[in-house]
Amino acid sequence: MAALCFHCGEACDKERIVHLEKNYCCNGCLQARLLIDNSILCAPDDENFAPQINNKRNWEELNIPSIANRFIIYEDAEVKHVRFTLSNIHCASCVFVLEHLHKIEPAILKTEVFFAEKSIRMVLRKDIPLSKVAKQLALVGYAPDIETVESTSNETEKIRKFRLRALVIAGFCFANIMLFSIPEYMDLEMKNDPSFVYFFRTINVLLSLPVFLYSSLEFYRGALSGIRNKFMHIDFPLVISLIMAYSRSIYEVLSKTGSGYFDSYSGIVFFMLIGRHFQDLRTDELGFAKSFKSYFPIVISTKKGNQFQNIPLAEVQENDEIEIHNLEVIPADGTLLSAEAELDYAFVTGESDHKDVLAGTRVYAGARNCSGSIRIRVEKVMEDSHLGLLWNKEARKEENTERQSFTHVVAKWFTLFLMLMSFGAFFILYPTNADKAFRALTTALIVACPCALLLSHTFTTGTALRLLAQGKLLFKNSFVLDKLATLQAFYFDKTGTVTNTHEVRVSYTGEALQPEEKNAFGELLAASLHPISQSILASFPRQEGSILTEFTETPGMGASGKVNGIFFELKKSTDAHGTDIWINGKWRGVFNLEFEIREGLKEMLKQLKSNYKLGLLSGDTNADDLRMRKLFPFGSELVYKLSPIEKANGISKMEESVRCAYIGDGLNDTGALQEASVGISVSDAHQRFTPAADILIPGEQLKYLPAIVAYAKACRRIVFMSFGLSLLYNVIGLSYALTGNLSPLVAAVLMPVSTFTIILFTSTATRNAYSRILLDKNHKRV
Amino acid sequence: MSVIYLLIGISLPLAMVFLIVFLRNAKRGQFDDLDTPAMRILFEEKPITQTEIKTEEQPK
Repeated sequence: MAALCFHCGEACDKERIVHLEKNYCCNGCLQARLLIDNSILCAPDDENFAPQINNKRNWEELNIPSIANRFIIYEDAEVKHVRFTLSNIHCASCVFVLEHLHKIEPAILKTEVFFAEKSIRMVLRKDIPLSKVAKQLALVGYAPDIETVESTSNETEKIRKFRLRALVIAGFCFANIMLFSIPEYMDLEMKNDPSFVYFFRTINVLLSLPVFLYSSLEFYRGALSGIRNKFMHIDFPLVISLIMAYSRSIYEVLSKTGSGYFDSYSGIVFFMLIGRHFQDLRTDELGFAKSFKSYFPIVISTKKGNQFQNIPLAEVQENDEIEIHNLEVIPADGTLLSAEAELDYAFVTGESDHKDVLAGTRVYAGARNCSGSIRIRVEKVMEDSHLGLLWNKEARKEENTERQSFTHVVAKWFTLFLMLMSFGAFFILYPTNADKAFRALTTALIVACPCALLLSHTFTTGTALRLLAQGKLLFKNSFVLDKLATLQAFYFDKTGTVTNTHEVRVSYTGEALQPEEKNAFGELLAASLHPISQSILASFPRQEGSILTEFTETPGMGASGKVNGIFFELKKSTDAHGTDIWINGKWRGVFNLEFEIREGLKEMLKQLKSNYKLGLLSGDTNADDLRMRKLFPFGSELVYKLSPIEKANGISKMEESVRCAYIGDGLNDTGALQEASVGISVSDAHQRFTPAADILIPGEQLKYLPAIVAYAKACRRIVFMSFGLSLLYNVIGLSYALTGNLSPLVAAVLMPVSTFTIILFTSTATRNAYSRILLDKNHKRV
Repeated sequence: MSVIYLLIGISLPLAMVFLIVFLRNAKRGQFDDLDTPAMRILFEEKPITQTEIKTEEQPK
């Protein structure tokens, strides 16, 4: 009688601990469960709470110094600090469990969780090996994610911190300057006393210095880079406005002719910085940070001398002999040394059928080994492998896209127009009335700031992207949203995109199985490691109490064993399309596996058909054509047996005439994702992986694609409307200013007022559109 | 009204002290994580019950 552990689900063979009528296979599991039970926030007795405890992995690779050093951030004589990324963190209860780990493992002194980053920092006793720590984390359900290559964006971090500081200082100065400008605006007795007036003006000058010298630095940098590289950078007119306003204000104070516009000046800087900071608030950039290296094992069993040792992947060289175990991914191009192997190339080509290869055949990086342990001689290391080269063609120049965007084009022309008009008015008025001329110039430049135009786009797309990210739709940047609104065609990949590789439909044809045979079969399936067995297992409940004996598994051929006296055999069918089941030597039937088509896809495609061209680009054979023809509306193009390069070429050809989106699962269609105007990567599992995609969408939301495109279009309309609004402000203000009659005071007030209304309008309109289009009734929840 | 010189002379430096304190602490990382401290206040410490833990050695 093998009881199953309540915590990890394994059989309790070595020892069995009973607590409150539940069985545990070891003390570790028991302690972990008790700790989790203490965290009241998640429902621990809920059957749906299955933290995927993996007790089998031993994390030995973390003990290799070069790999351990990736995670150790500080070390001294007594303690070491490590940082792990845990993708399973999702609620406050997770934080509780992790921060109380020190209760069940004394070598862990302290744990601090960073919820937004999904990472932890642990203070450990110096002597404890990292593999033990990782095992402990896995035991409570939060296995560390060590395959992810850290995206070191130190540069962007520094820029972000600087901008925040500049923002804070600008805000401080702005608020105080406004306070000290009150006497100017109000008719107070104070105004008659020149020493007071002078005092307040001096304070304003002093307070505006940090804004001029520190907070505006990033605008100066932008304008300078524009001048250096000979193009009209969007910050250039802004810098001109700022310098004009500031120098005019200083001049007025020094010559005692006025009080300047320090409040509007610092206000402009403050609001612009807020807009830029808002753009920085990108939620969850983790999805875009992973590189393809995270799919490969980090250590490879390599022959050194006469023995096989675990070597970090980066140190594997040409001509090394490596051993790849069952279900591991081959990390390099090479030649097969073992007699035969069964390989799954879905990663590389998208084909769902496995390939049987013999000794001497060329094998490629990215193939998953579905046989037992095989030996390979390395010919090309990962970076130079066929797959590595394909993936490394990712160099995309995104700065160019930004420069060509609509906003920048409009702002550029507007600026030129503005400069012309302002300086024109200045020179016209100067001969007759110098004072009025100056007034016209400065108020024109203050009032008609192109920054309102920029803010429209920034705030709209910034808000939109954040709302979308909350619904788990990740956009790479705001220009993707614009492009999404102007598409003309959608091309889909098949396996993993249109079909869901996590939902397998198992169909059985043959003689029906007796109830006792059904119950016993589950034991055999559970013991087998083959993915096919795992899929079939879903339909066969495991009974507690069945014992499996004489179990043998021949990877690539099948499995067999005796359960409760019945002898089962699972063998690959002779026509290789299914798996046969033999009971007690007699053939009983065959299992056929098919990936399910995602639900809602048919309706979605019908919706898209009215406005877009549709097509399917698949790497698989056309065996599935019938199902696909029923799914796609009449007139769609369905092409099969395409290699990743053929897909990329196909899309790039399409792009010559129509703007396409390509939707794939990102594994083998990097090229196509890059070539398309918009590359959308679909993913189901936690691991999100986008070498070249612009949008990441979870599998179950693919059917909402039409709504998402509708939202992108709505956002585009909102940007235009707010452009119109800010142009209105500008036209009215500008025409008045150019006559020289606009009081600088009014100009100074109009500036923040217009900025504020733009921000308010765009944020509310965007949010509104989101709830109208993407949240109604049965659509996505927030 | 000249008391205003004194008032401003005190309040402005005071405000600047706050600004400096904020900038210093932002540099030290106090504001890097704003979500997790909010969760920590919800934790309770229940004693782990040690009753009824029986261990058996399973025959191989």
